Parts: sequence; structure tokens; C-alpha cells
Amino acid sequence: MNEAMNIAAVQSETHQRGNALATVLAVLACGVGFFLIGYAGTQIYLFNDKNQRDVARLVGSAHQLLCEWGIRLPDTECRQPTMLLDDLVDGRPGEPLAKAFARMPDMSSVVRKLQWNDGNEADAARFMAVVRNVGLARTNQSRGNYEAMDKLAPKIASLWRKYPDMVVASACVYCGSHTRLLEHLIEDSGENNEADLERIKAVFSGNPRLFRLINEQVPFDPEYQYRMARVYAELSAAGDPRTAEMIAGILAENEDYDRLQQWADGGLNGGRSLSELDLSSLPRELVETAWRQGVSMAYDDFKLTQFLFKRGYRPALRWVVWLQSSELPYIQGYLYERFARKYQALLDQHAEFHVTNGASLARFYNEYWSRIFWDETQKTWRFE
Amino acid sequence: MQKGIFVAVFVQVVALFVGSAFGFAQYWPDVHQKAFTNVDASGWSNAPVDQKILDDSANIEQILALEPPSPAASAEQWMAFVDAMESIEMGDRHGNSGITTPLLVFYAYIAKHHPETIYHLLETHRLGNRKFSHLVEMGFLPDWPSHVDDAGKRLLQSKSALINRVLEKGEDSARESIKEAFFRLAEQAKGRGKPNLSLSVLRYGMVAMSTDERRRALDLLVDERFDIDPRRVEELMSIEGLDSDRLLSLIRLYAYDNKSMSSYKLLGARLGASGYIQSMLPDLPDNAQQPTNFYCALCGIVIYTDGLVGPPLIEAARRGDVAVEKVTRGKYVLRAGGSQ
Repeated sequence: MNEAMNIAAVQSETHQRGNALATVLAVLACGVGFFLIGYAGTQIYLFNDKNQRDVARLVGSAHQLLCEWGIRLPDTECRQPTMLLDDLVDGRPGEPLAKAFARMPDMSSVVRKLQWNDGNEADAARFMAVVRNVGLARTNQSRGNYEAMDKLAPKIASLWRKYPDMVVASACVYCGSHTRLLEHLIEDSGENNEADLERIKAVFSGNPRLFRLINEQVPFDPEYQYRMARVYAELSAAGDPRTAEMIAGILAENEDYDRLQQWADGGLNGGRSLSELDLSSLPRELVETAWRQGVSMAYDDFKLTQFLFKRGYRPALRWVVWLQSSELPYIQGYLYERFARKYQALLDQHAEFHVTNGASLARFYNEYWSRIFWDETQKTWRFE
Repeated sequence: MQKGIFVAVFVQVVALFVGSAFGFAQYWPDVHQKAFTNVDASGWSNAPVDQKILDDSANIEQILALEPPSPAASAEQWMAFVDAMESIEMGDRHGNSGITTPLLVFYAYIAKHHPETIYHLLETHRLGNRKFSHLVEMGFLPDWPSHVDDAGKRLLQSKSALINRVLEKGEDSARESIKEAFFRLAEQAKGRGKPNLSLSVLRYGMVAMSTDERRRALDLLVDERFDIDPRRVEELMSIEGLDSDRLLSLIRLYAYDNKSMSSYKLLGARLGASGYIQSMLPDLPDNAQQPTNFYCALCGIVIYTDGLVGPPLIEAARRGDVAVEKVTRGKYVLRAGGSQ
């Protein structure tokens, strides 16, 4: 009996050992499987270049954090809290930085080499001076410089948050692509703009273009807007159509037509300032002033031309006749091409001339100009 | 049993982690390169140097070596910093004198932390009006009138300074300041160098002047007490009480032939001088005589004349066969058959 029991116990133990071994082997086999999944899965993920960059960014951030804690890792350096021009002179140690930059084909390539790693205000000034210098050396690459600002803005987002005045003041407002950079920085800052509004106000109030940049994102109170618009109308000029329109809109809203007239009569874009307004609600003289300002620089606004043409303003008629009867590149640039058909439609629909296009139109006008008049009833130019 | 399950799960997790680590290790050189360098795969070290770009660049090492003093540093230390800035090798295209200098940000830095240095540079003529205007425009030097020798003179020459003054003190106060400064400087300018004057600033101040004062101001301009830009005479055209002929005489006094100046011709035509219409006719075909800076001969012809247009006018002008008949001030008729 005992012997039978012993045999049974041994058999049971052997069976248990066998089960345990099988379990261990199963676990190990699963482990190998998971190992292979991890191995292959990671490689498949990192095969994608974008994923590599994402991971690289995480690694860089983690490394920076460790550096801040004073922990150094082998084969990497902790960057000093200042601007660093990464590996600019790889392959040519000792070469002047300006020369290294001069090998690069465009500003975007230069921007890829620049890195803001956080620093103090003096570091910020040095960084912006270098940015400005490389841009100035490439003045003949204006398009490339403009596009490079898209890449530069995210790199200096933290610099912008800490030292916006250094960034804004690093170049004159209308120099190069400076406004483009500021536009990006302000747009990307989002709600941070509101927090810094008071500080930014001092920096942005002196120039209408700067004022517009911040006002579009974080509007100033209406009273302040009108106060600034009054000052700009009398003492400044719009450097671009959007600024022209914004200030004009504020003045029109306050029915300040005297100052709106001054604003429309100034600068390259004065003639564009009424583009967003209901022209029929404005004094006629104001519209004529804006039209003249634009046309005097061959930078007319079709909306104004159309408005005045259809209301018997003779210079507008003459302008359209010139455009449609001559071939003069300096008044028929890309802006004219966009509206060429519309200019022609004005003549076709609102002028009862024998001819409405080409050299024949000019000859017709020359022969009959003293007999051409505006018929207010018919709303058309006629001749008798 | 539970212990066994725990061990089994633990082994799988470790295996997964180890497998991932081995897999990651194969790509570590690529990730490392992306994390710690910005070097493009191609790099530019073997590309040729663009000599023009190099010539137009300042010395970047010198820029990076600039170390501004602390705000508490002495005036001498700040001036030493300015000397260091001014000794930097600049590029061929942009020196350090105007506002296109790459070092402009450092002037902002100085203005922010030690404005006394800026005022000193201003008074010793080491910092020009453009840089001063830029700094004020950017919100630096908020109480500049208290620190410059002649705040009124600065107002007359800098719209940025005036905008700042208007925002700080109000419109009425600013207008009175301009009025006072204008007449004072006009008196001082007799027999001495003519100060520059922004006509848009004068226009702003003229709002605070009586009609007699405005006429007297115009007389002083005609008397060449100031240096003005004839293209800006149009700023005064909206001021009541000013004689158009006197404004025209300002243009004649100050205008000169230069490719950047010709927009004064349109203004002269607007004020009634038919000679300017004649002078614009040769520019009709291509505007090539005066291609820059907002001048368009044809546009002036369109706005201020009637009569001949288009190719026939261009042809007649080429023959010198256009008569300009004045109808009224600012309106003319162009006819064929007259000599230029």
C-alpha cells in the first residue's frame, strides 16, 4: 500500500515538474515572441523619418532637462544657455562664420543652422543681430528671406515671449521680411499676447503697421483704437493695404471723414484704404482723393475706379481709356491683369462709344473727347 | 497561481522592452544625429562661397563677442561698449550709421538699460535722427524731451517723436510745441545752417496757428529758413489760408532733378504750373526717366488733363507737337499742334 502510494506520489511529482517545465517554456516562448514584436515593431516605427524626428525631439528635450539638473551623459554635451550655431563649420574648422553662411544657398538653409537654446537678454540681442546680419547680406534674395521667416519664427518663440521688444526693435518696420517674422510670432503666441498686451502696447503703438499686427490678434479697446487712428491719419501712412484698411475702418466707424481724407491721401497704400468700406456712404470728395492717391502711383484700386467711373468722374474715364487703348507695361502690371476684363466691362456696359478697345478707342476719344459727357439718367458715358 | 501569472506577465513586458531597446539601438545613430545636431545630410561645407553675400556680411564672430555692460555699469563702460560696436567690421552694403545696420538691436538694448548713453550719442552726433526716431517708435526713450537739448527741434524733424509726444501729452500740447519750435528755429536759422523740417509735422502744428501765423510760416519757408522735401508740399495743401502760388514757389525753390524726386511734378501741375505737364510728356512711353519711388508721368496726365490720350498723345509728344492749355488750376487740356 505504502509502496503504491509512493509510486503515485512520485508520478504526481514528475507530472507536476513536467507541467512546470512546459509552463516555463511557454512563458519563454511568449517572451521571445514579445521580444521580436518589440524589436521589429520599434524598427518599423523608426523607419519613418518623421517618427525619427519626433523621437529625436523627445530625446533632445529629455537631455536638456538632465543638463538643467546637472546630469551629464556620455557622448553628448550640455549646451550652454545661449545661442548655438549647430555644427556650422563641420569640415572646415576655423572658417569664419560669415563665410560658412555664404556657402548656403538661401536664408532657409541658414535658419536651419540657427538654434535658440534660451538665454538672457544680451544673448537675445546677439541672436537677433546675427539673424539681421545674414538677412541683410541676402537682400537680393527677398523671396527666400520672406519664406525663411516661416521657419525662423517657431525657433525663437521662447525668445519672443521673453524679449518681444528686442525682436521688434532689431530691424526697421519696413525692412526686409521683418514684418513677416512678427506676424508669425504674434499669430503663434495666441493667448499669450493678451497677457503681455500692456507690455507689447508700448512697443507696437509707434507704427500703424505694428499696431495692426497686434490689433488683429488681440484688439485694443475701441477708444484706444480711435485715438491711435487719429494720430496715424495725421502723422503716418499705411505701409500695406491691410493696415490702410484697418485704420480707415476705425476712422469711418467714428465718422471722422476729415482724418480719413488725410489717411487716404498719404503713402503708397492710401488709395487702398477704402477697399472694405461702403463707398456710397462716404463723402464723394474722399473717394476721389483716395482714387487719385492710388492712380498717381499707378496703384489704383479697381473698386474705386468702378465706383467713380459709374458716377461720371471724368479722370476715371480717362484712366480706363488709357488702360484699354494702350500697351504700357508700367501701368499694366500684374494688378491690372487681374482686372483687365472688368475694366473692359466698364466701357462695354457704361459707355456708348463706337469702339471700346485698342488703338481705335484712343483715336475715338481724341476726336470726340469734348463731346463726351456723363448721362446721369442713363448712367452711361455718351457723346453727341 | 497568481504569483505565476504575475511572473509570466512580467517576463513578457521585460521581453517587449528589451526587444524594443534592441530595435531602437539600431536606429540610435540616426536619432542621435537628429537630436543633437542640425546638420543637413548634405551639409554645405563644400559648397562654393557666394562672394557678394560674404562681402555684404558683417563679422559675425565680433557680433557674438559683444557683451553689453550691466545697467549699473558706469557711463564710461557703456561708451566703451558703443566703441566696441562701432569697431565691428561691417559689410559693404550696410554700415552702422542708419537703421539698416544689423546692430540696431544693440541700440535698443542700450536705450532700454542705459538711455543716458543714447542721449549722449545723440548730442555728440554719433547717433542720427533715424536711429533716434526708430528707438522712439519702438517705445524706448519714453521721456526723451527731458533729456535732449532742443526737444522742439526734435519734434520738427521726427514724426515718430511727435507721435510719442501726442500719445504722452495730448494733441493740443503737441501742436503748441510744434508751433513754438517752428517760429523759434526760423528766427535762429537766419544766416545759419538750415534745420530739417518735416512738412507733415508742420501741418500738424499749423492746426494750432491763426491764419496770419500760417501765412507767416509759409513766408518763412519761402525764405528758405528750413530744409524741406518738395515732394511733401502737398501736406500743406489741406491747410486753409495758404496761397497756392506760394506753395508752388516752394516746389520751385526746393525741387531738383533726381530719379527719386519726380513726384513733385504732379504736385506742381496740381497747383497750376502747366510747365510740369509739359515735362511729364516725354516720360509717357515708359516712365524710364524717373522709374523709382512713386512717380508715374502718365498718371499725372490722366488726373490733371483732358483731351489727347493713348498712342496718339505719345506720338505727338515724341514729335514735340502737344499744346498744354490751362483751363483752371489743376486742369489742363492737351491738344495736338503746339510746340513743347
